[in-house]
Amino acid sequence: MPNATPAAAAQPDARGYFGGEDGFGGRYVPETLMPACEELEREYRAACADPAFKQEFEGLLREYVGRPNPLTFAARMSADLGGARVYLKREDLNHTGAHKINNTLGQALLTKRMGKKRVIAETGAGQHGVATATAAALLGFECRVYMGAEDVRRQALNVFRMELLGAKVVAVQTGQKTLKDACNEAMRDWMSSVQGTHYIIGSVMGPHPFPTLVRDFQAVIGREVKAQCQQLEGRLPDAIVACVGGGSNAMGIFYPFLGDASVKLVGVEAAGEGLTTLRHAATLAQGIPGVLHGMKTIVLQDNDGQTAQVHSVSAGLDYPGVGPEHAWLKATGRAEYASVTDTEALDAFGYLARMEGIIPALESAHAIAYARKLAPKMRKDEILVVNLSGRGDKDCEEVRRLLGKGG
Amino acid sequence: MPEASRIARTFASLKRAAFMPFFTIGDPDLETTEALVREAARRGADLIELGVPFSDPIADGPTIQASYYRALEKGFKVAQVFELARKLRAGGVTIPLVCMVSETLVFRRGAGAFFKELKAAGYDGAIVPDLPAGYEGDATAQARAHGLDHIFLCAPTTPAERRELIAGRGSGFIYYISVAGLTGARAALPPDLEANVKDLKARTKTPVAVGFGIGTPEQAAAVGRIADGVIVGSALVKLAAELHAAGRSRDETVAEVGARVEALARGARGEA
Repeated sequence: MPNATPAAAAQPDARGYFGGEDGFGGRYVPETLMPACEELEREYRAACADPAFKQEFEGLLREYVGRPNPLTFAARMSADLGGARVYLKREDLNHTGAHKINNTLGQALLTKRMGKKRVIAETGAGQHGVATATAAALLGFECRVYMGAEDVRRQALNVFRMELLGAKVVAVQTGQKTLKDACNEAMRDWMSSVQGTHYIIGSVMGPHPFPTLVRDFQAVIGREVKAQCQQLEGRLPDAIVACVGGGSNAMGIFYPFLGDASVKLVGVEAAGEGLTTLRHAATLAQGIPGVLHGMKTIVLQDNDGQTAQVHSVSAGLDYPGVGPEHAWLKATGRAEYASVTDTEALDAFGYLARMEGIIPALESAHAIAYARKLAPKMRKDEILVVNLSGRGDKDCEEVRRLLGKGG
Repeated sequence: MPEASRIARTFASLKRAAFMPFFTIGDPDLETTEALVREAARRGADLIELGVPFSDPIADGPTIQASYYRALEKGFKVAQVFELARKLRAGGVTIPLVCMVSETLVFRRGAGAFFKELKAAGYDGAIVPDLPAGYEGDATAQARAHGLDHIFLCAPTTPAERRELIAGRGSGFIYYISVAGLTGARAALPPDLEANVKDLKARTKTPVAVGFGIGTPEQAAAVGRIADGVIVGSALVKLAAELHAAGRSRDETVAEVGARVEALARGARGEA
């Protein structure tokens, strides 16, 4: 397995496995959903071959999302860390404030192609929910977003944003009341509504073809970085760092670089209160192969296969699974995966605000926290790109509470 | 040809639809599940389905999901799946037992090991609802090797070419899902049910049982007229949970659920 080339990992096989049936991916869904997955796969193939689809998607990214967003040189951060030249890919500047909109617009256009008029989504931090509600408003779809009750509390502002955008937000009271439970409820909705509803999965996860199509819609991030780095520095970056929950911003920035062996790819998971505690969400660090939410991947689970409780200060990383392509990239060694704790992420949240005048999302703060460790170990002529996947406005209230500065 | 399985023999011996109740293992506790199965067997069940609690069920409705969470909160372990069947067989229950279990739990132990242990414990079949035809790998072969029927599901949304695929897979029976939705009792049977069951039966000699949304003896009778088996889950799980929550003793709960099983079984047999 480890000697497979990146090119071989780039496309899953016909049934959606990265690395063959002994790899990761597949389609582990109830029979009721099989036709919907097959329809989506057909429709996606047709869309890929249709220049009008590409044109409409790229037009929306340009005129509505505001792409390309900049690759910003972090001058003070680079000087402070004393190593690599650090650049930030500014997904925080997208319309709705995160990378999630790239995917939701792509899937909303697929929804339109399939003739469906209703979309549903799961959300953790609320960024994917907001991005789905936005795309639904833009295209005139009915929209329902499932969100764990604990996340509804942590991300109250995003709930209000989704409602403003015309979506109905359902607070999920089952299980741990976080992202995985929201995924369960969205799947259940889809079971009952599949004929007229598309489920806009928010990350590179779920049954085939979701991991592939979400990655493809997000790959615009990596393509822009490649062109921008060429323009600014005349060469490729030496390392790229991105946070990983399900892993869509990481997959989006990694994917165009998979064949560039000189570019080190690092995914950063949430170590929560520490890997030696049971309160973390570092799936690739401590998980085992399993099946969750329609995919075979690495999962945090007990010896019976029951999903483990997970924790992260960041609602968007608080997930016990990971996209199957990340599991495969780890197995092949093409990408490496690290983790940072809640405390390190909270430090990085304030650090970037003070050093660069940018408040990152708590998810993205995990990538910043790892960059603070990595950059000093790199040479001054090396280039480190950090995917700043979202802005932190949504987290200010929660961080204020955690730092004990607010009532 | 291998000897016909206990499930196949059961369907072959009946001149009417089989009645197949479902219970969640360990809700409200393992002793009650055991007593419910015995009582159901005594009062007209032809086959019992036993659901394995899982932390993240996506194929089940709110009633079954809630029962899974209750069992997990009480410390349910997969080992109890096997323990239950051993006790039932030791206690003289002879009707087929079918285990409904998420692929997540099967995959953890490996299909071969899981199915071997199911068979050794006394189960006759396994339903893995999130392991659809085309993705079962060697699970069916493993089931067969260990003498277990691997039962596939078919849904109203399943197109003709997949029905054909499913008709040729597995053994024991095919579980036809009556509605494109979740398990849970509903008021009326869907209008396309009869045509869909007929279509499936025309494609296979394997018996076709219908589940999802059946809660009353009248509905059981209506389904019993068109299918080889009638499956009732949520209505019984809900009744048992309500009785337990109301503080009724185990004996009272078992007797009352047993009475409901008898009424439903009479319906399925066309005696209602």
